[in-house]
Amino acid sequence: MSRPEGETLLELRGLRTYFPLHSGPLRRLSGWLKAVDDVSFAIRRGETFGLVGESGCGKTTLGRSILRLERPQAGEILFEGEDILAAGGTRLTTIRRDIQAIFQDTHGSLDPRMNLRSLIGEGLAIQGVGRAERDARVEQLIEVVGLRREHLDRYAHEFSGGQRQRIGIARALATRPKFIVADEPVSALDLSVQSQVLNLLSDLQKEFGLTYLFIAHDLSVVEYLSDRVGVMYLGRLVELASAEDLYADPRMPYTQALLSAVPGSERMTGRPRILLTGDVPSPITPPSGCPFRTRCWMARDICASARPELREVEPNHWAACHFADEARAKAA
Amino acid sequence: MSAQATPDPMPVAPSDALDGIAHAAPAHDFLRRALRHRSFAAGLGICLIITLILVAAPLLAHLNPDAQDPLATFAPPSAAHLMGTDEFGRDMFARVVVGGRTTVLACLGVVVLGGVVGSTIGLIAGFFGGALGFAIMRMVDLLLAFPGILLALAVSAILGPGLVNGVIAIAAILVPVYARLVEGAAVEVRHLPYVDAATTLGASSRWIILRHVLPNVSPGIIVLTTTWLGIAALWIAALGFIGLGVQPPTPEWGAILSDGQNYITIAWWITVFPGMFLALFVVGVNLIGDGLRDELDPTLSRR
Repeated sequence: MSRPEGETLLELRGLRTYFPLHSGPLRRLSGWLKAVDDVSFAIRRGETFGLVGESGCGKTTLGRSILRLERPQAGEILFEGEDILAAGGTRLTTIRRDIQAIFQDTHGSLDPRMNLRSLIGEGLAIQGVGRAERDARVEQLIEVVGLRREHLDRYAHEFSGGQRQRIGIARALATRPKFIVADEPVSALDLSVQSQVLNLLSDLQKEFGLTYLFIAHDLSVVEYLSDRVGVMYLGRLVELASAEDLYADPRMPYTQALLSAVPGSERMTGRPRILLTGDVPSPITPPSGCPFRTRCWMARDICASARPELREVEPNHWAACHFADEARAKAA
Repeated sequence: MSAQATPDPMPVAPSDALDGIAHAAPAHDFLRRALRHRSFAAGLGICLIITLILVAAPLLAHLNPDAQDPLATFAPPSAAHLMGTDEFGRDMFARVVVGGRTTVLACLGVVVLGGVVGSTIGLIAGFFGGALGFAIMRMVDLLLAFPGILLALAVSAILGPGLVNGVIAIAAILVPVYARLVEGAAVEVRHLPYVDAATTLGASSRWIILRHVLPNVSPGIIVLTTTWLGIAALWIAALGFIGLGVQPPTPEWGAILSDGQNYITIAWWITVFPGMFLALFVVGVNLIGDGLRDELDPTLSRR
């Protein structure tokens, strides 16, 4: 799936979202957990940007920062050129219409005391849209996501996981957003249901011209839907390329390891499975230099002393590795 | 249920539908559904009967709770005095009926006042948390550390005796109790993903508190309210007993009870009849509370 390069819809510039750590009886500030550490990239209008990485790499925090559910310490999030971190009050409410979310937890993200009509129409109700107009839009939306009008008076707990995710999608669409942060939207679903929800997301993108930030840990799911993919490790973006390039020619050793862990990839690509040793280092005390060096089979002295910047190793293919060219030779 | 008369909706997608779908009645069916809940129906029945007696009896017969008859003191129940008479020869039926109105209204006043103020404080502290929440909850802890009767006495002493002041005094005991319960529940709800979802939709704090947090902490509030409706009656009686609250000769169930206990060995009817009404009232209210708690939670299956 590739599209012509479009204009930028959302751009992150040096985004840093840190969580303060407190210790001791007086809860004194003892350090920072750098969940997102100096991340910059741009998402183009109409594309699906996949964001992958292991649990705890900061991809969810990054999504939550864009949704203004976390407050970043530094950096800018430009949406259509406007820094949304600087927005407040009614301006923020207006921006929120354009940026919506689909959550992983289909159970917890739907209020158990609201029926589908109230759930899906909530965004419109918040905006002050009148009852009749709201009902009309909700009735249209429930069918758009593949459920039926008869379901509108029921409650979320009466539906299966896949159906609940459809409800969540309808709710996100209600305010006619331009951009949707989908945080692991299918990882809690059965395999058979996953593809249905992915197809729905893909259809909706075409129908409504949506742009997605698709966050997942499952690379095969990301490959299916994404135009471009970013790889995160310990709060940093370590590789960024079109989905095709990334899967065919990963330049960062971490990405290579991640891809080789996809079931069946040995057979498909002929590349041997790379088994990483050791655990992910703590994001509270990340390693010096390259964050991946403690588990990297190619690490040398320079990796400990100098942090590799994200650089364009090939047109539109960015990697943060001192040996990105060598890594390619080795993997080939 | 009428919803089942409509045709069963078709599955949406072959493998993604049907499982886990149950029929839920629309919201306007609420009362009808609630009445099928046995304890709710029983509680409502008991409370309706009590209300009927308290409202209708004075309309059907002239009741004077203060009329004394020195020739008929401690008369046992008879056709002339359905519930007997007390030490002044006052008709107990008149006193129970008229006193019941005072008691029921005062109890409602206590839980409404204490509940609204306490829940509001708890919601604010629980939702916003931080330094504000911490400060509020330490105040609540301070109030909770006082024995309830001491708090009520202090407030009564400041405001002076009287039924209204008594209600305020007892509501003051309830405020920290509600605040503590609601704060705990609100903290829990605040961190649930659907609150994030509402924030993403542009909801204000007020919207989230009223539309998401309050409905989801309401089961606890309802149970606490129905429990305290009964306890409030006893507190009002206690205040009356020590000279604050309701002043004699105004009849009130609690006051009649504490008065009648002096004569329980020679005139059981003075305590038994108001006691019976008080107990029935408390039981009825609690049954309603159980039913409401179940019915207001759509995730609890009724089948």
